Amino acid sequence: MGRDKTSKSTRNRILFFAFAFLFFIIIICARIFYIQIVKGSEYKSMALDQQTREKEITPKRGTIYDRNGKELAVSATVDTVVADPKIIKNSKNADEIVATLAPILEMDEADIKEIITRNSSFEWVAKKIDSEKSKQIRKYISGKDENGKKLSKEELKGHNLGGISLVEDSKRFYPGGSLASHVIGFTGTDNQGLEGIEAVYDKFLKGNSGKIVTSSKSNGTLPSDYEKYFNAQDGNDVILTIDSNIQYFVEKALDEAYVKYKALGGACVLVTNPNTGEVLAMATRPTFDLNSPRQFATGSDKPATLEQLQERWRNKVVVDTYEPGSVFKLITCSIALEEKVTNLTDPYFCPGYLIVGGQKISCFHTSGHGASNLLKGTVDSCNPVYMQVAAKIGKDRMFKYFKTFGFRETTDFDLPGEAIGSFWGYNDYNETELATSSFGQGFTVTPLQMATAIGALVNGGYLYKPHVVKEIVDSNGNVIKSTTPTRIRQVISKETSDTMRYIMQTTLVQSGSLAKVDGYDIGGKSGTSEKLPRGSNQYIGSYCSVAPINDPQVLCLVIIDDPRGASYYGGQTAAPVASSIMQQILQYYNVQPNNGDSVSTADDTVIPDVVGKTTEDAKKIAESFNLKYSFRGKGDTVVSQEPAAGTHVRNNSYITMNLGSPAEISQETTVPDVTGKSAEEVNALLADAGLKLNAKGKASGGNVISLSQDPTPGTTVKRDTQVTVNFGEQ
Amino acid sequence: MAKKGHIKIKKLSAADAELLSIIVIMVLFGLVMVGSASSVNALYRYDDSLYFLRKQLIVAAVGFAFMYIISRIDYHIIASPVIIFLGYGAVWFLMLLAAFIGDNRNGANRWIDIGGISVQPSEPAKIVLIVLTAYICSKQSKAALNRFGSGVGLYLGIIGVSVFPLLLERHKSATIVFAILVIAISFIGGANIKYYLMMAPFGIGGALAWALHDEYSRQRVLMAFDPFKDPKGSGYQAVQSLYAIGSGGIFGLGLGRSQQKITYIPEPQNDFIFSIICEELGLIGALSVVVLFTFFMFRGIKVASEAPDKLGKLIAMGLTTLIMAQFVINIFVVTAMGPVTGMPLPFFSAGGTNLLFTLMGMGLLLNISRQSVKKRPLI
Repeated sequence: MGRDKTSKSTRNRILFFAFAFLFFIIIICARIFYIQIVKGSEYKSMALDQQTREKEITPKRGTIYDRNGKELAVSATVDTVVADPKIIKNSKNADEIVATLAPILEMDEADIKEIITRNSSFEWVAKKIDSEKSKQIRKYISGKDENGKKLSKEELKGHNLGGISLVEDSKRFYPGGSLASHVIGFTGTDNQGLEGIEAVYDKFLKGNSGKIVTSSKSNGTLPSDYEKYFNAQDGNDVILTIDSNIQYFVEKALDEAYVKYKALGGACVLVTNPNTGEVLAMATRPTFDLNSPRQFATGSDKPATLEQLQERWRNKVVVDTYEPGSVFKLITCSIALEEKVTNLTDPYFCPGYLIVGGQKISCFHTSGHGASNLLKGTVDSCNPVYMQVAAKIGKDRMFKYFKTFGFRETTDFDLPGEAIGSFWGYNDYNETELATSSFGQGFTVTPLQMATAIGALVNGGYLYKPHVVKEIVDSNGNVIKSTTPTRIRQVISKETSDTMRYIMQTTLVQSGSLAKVDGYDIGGKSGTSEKLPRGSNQYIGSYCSVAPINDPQVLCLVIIDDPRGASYYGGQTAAPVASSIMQQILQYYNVQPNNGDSVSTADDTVIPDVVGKTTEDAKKIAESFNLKYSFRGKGDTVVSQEPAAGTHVRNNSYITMNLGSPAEISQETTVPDVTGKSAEEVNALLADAGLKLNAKGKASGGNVISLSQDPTPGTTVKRDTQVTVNFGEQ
Repeated sequence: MAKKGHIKIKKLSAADAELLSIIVIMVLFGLVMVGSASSVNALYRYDDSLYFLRKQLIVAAVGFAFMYIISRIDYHIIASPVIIFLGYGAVWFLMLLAAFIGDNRNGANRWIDIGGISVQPSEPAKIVLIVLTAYICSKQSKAALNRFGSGVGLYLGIIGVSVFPLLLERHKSATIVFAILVIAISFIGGANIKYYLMMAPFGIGGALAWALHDEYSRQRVLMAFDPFKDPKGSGYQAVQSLYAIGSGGIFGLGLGRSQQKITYIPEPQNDFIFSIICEELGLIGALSVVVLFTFFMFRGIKVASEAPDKLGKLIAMGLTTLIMAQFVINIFVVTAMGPVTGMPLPFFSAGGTNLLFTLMGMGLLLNISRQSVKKRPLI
């Protein structure tokens, strides 16, 4: 009985234990359920977060091509050394890493040690190492040599690179070196575009990086199933309008000129297609090698300062402004012709100077050119003729055209830092300023603006937006963006443009310019301007030429800044450079040479203005315009012509010239009614009638109109008579 | 004398087949999980992903051999005073030795080197302590057990003497197991529960004071309640374990696919093997483990209740308690319900001594089962 009781008590106590354990087992089950099911996804994502590491896959940066598909900037794959200091700390191999990497990377041991012992799990050790170095490092990381043969324990001893890895990176190479360096630009160490096209089109070129998500501790040697791959999207290719052949001609010619003329201020050349605004070549001196943009001779042992670098990287064509000098006479000339304030043969006189606004402004030919006209004045580059022409154009029209030719705005070009240049405000633009501006002094423009405007003179009158990017193509070859030639506006009529080509050709030929290319029809104009401050004896010589003149395909603007050679004149410095470039381009374009002084075989020509010419001159002009001619009447001067100047006709059409004495050319005109009109309208009406405006009263403002005039409408007066017009509020 | 002789010559019946099956299943399951959990660690450290599995296989083979041999030796022979007291003296001395000359690992000296093999003397000590306590308890009269001095006082004394070297070793988990074993056996054996309840406040107070006596221990205890307060420091292991268990979900990531074993959980084949089981085999795998231990508990209790005498009952309950206490504490630790102590999961964790002596203890349990006296079912 007692034994049974003991046994029963023991049994109860055993049962108590069973229930105690069951109690704990139930708690355990509940707890596991809570962790795995209730909190499962939360813990899982936290676990994934620490278990995985994202490794960025650098996309391949797009290639920059020239218009012919020649590579100007390409990316190649290189390795970058990175460290995981956490792993290194755990495996205590920092000293082995330092001892192994320092000689290979040619880095200071202390520097490496500092990097790999930082308190982080990712550090760059060395970026973009060359393939020889990366081969040596890869050997120790993989434990295998290049042929896949395992290295022995002895060979690996002391070279435990655990925590060090190689990451694929890309490096930019510029096969052309300094070719078009100021256009292409270059990238920084992180492959970000820093200058030029590389900077402006960075978002197209760089692409989108991808990533590999891997187990963060897999360390390359440990097994891991988890690896997700998100493809990188390679950058787009940029195709430039640059023709690297032409660019090469330009670079070579400019190299020689830069040395020969000792251009202290540098030099630049811009070659465009005036019919599209495409930039075919663009170069600046001094230049630099895109593969090492920070290394060039600075005259001292020290590395170039930031200012020196920025100076060297300046694209003068786009960023710098200059006084265009006499090249601008072409613009003034076109305005005069477009506005018909004068014609090519209206007589002018150059006494060697002109007093404007009480100031004596000299012609460079101080003894004077004597009797002249617009054409001769252009050939001679005679300032007094142009000052008189500008006076006829008048302040308002000059001001207006300065805008319409695009000098008051950027061209919205593809490259950064584009300048606008400076011009007078309307109220500061008076008689003297009007006079000097006619020959390109007193204001500034960029070479790009100048070339764009001259393009309009020869292409039929259209201002084309200049551009250097032709197309953007993605890595599969699909065109993403394509630049079509953009006409900004028509600035002058086709007739004026045709005449301008004739003038440019005549100027180049008759001035005996060094810009000529034997066997080709070229037009051009030189310019020389004194840099500010006046009297510094620093000049800018420039030349702008266009060829073939009957069907312009190429426009070339050469600027030599502060030449210190034998001459500083544009005609002596820039012109030969333009000639050399043009000759190579025309041969490269396979343009057939001809005898060199007749205008074209194109079907169309234009009737020149021959009124006032001597019969001999008129014959020459008519021939040069591919016209047949007949004379009517007697005398040695053309008094009138049929058809009128500017008319478009077929080649070999007839121009009929009525002869008489110079006195018979009409010197009289009828005063038009100019009351109740705006200042601009008055100006235009009077100019059409060959009269000059003498504005009185308040001539500017919103509601200003002309109130009265003197002489009265209908009065017959001599040409160039001043008509006094009173302006006031309506 | 006659009774003793009768038992000695009694032909042993077959061992409890279900108990044996559960033991074998758990050891094999454990081997698979050790192989999986340790592979990365082994590859990383020894360039041989099977390093730990191979060691564990050897231990399991030796352990099964010992289990078989012991299961064929009558437990009354093993539980003879000479063997018990000599054995107890020996393991006590070895534990003391470990405290002074043992290998220091993770701030505790619990290993000693015997013939090139690292052994934790506290592991055989657990078995010896069970047999010792059961023997003493089975020899005491009901009256003696009822008194404080010869009952609870005596057993508290045994606990004190036994854990003294462990305190020097700073071996908290074994200390707790020792205390649980002596209390459990003496309680089932008939010690007056009143005195235990009276001593409980002192015990709990002492345990708390001990658990919180230094900053290291304090942090571990505090982190047991919110390991995310310091996930990179003292809460690290608990947090990593929760990540592993949580990642498993219902079906797990699949055998061998644990990510947390890749250097996040240190020594994943040892104390935290249950976390890897949860991660790789999910809730299904985790509950399988719990079910196996629950079955084991019932079979152990069955063996105890059918044991032919009090000594057998107490040894069987001691061994069952040993396995279950370690199981519960281990799971509490890895599920962040208790401070991290070095508590292995019996049958599963790698670490040779624990499995070897666990299997030797199971030999003893099987031997008791072979002497079962069929009774009406306990439950």
